[in-house]
Amino acid sequence: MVADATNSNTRGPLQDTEIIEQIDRDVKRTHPDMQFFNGDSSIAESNRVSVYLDIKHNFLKLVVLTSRFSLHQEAMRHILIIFAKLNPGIRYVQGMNEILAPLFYVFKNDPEPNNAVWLMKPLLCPLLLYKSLRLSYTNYIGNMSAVIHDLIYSVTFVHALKLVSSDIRKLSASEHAEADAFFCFVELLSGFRDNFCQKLDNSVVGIRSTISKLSELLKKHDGELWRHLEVTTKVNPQFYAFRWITLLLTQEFNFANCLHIWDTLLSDPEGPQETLLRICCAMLILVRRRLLAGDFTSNLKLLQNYPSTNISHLLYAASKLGGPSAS
Amino acid sequence: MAHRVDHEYDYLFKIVLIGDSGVGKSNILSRFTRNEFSLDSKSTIGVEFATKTLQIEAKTVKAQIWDTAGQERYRAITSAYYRGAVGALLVYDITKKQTFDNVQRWLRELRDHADSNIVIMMAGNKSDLTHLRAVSENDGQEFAEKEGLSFLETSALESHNVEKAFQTVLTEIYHIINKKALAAQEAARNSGPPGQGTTIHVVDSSDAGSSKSSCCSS
Repeated sequence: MVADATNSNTRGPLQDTEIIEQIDRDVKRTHPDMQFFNGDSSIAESNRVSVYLDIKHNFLKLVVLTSRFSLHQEAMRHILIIFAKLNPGIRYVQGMNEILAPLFYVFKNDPEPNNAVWLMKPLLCPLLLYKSLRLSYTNYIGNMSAVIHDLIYSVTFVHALKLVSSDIRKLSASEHAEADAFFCFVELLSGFRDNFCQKLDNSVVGIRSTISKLSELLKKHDGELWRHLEVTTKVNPQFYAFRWITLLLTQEFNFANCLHIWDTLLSDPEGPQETLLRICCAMLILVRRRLLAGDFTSNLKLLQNYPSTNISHLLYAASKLGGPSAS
Repeated sequence: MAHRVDHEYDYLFKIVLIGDSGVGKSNILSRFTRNEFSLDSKSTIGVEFATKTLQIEAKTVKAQIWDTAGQERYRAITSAYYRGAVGALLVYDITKKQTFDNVQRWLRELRDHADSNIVIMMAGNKSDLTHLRAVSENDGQEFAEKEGLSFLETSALESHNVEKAFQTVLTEIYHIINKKALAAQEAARNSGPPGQGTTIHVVDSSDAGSSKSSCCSS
């Protein structure tokens, strides 16, 4: 009763480091295939650039402090770390990164003029400098623009350094997006956080009970499929629906489709839970023929790698499974 | 109605992949089952499932592999998947000492939730990152010997020892099963003359018409 379950709560600061390490690992694993998240190393957006002026040699020296994160990843890190700090009962659970990603993406791509970066244009230069540096350092010296020339020679070394580091952050990570995404993330999780809480796993609000609600919904709408899945082929819904539900389907579809689904999910005035379960149920029914023909292995593989599908049709099918007041 | 139920194997063995988050479990699995590797794969939530059929001593063995989430929060959920597992690949990261130190906890986890005869292979993954090594091969070997585990250093990236790790586990399981089958036969033979040998499990409780002797008819 003493050892494992509790010692994690008594470790204090050590646990903080562990959580941050976990967040770091997962932030880097959030849609690694999308440039929006992983940044583009060739533009070196992911690097913090510091400029040193070597007066003696009349020579500009760039020191690149490589950050392991792109600016967008950095913002996601902040959000997750702060959430973990503010919610000591849950802290950070793997998968939260996946839920945050669509929110942050949407806010970041908001065309709102406040997010424009024109202000920072001159200070883009250090980035460009760095870019050209990668090609050829000497080449760059020849191409140095008037703006950067002025900048470098009009400010002191330390001041330049400060300016550069603070403004680079502003220029491509609009602080609004980070704050807005944080707010919505907290809001969204307030409805779903029980799914992340191990202590509630077996309670009426925890993930297991949500999964059995899905099972009941399927039984109600398609008894034959339910029987085949859960009785004949013994595919425990936990094997696939655990991820569907905890991640709000973010890992089951590509990013664009996921945003499409979330539009419906988040616009339900009754809250997203019931809609989520209906969509999950519709996902099962849409592949019922394949499921009914399959055994344990093929069914589980199918449901863990859900085939790409027409999302509008899926959402339509889900809406047919009952109005907002049903079940 | 093409029934995709395949019975094209002699044995079906369930294997679980466990270990701390980020040690490379999912990449070991994808390397083994699909010969794929990705530097930034998504984190595993809950459990992921894959199969691979291979030959073990002229028998066709289907390995059913359950890749589990490494984070503490998911442990209660994933331990449910240990049921019926006959093998485990316990993975740590040779560049992260902490993941090696935690092997002890994972063993305890297995002992609490899995079959006591489960065959365990400990794998020190990421052996390609020699310049970042934090756990020596020797330490791994010593620990494995002390705990009675098989041990290999693997690299999912370089495809080093991954196949071998699974092959070793599966072969060992196969031998155990074989030995058990032999022992059962032996026992059946020894109990030959009725009324003399030690009585073994005569299942005769509820069914009156005990005409169905489905298995082990020799």
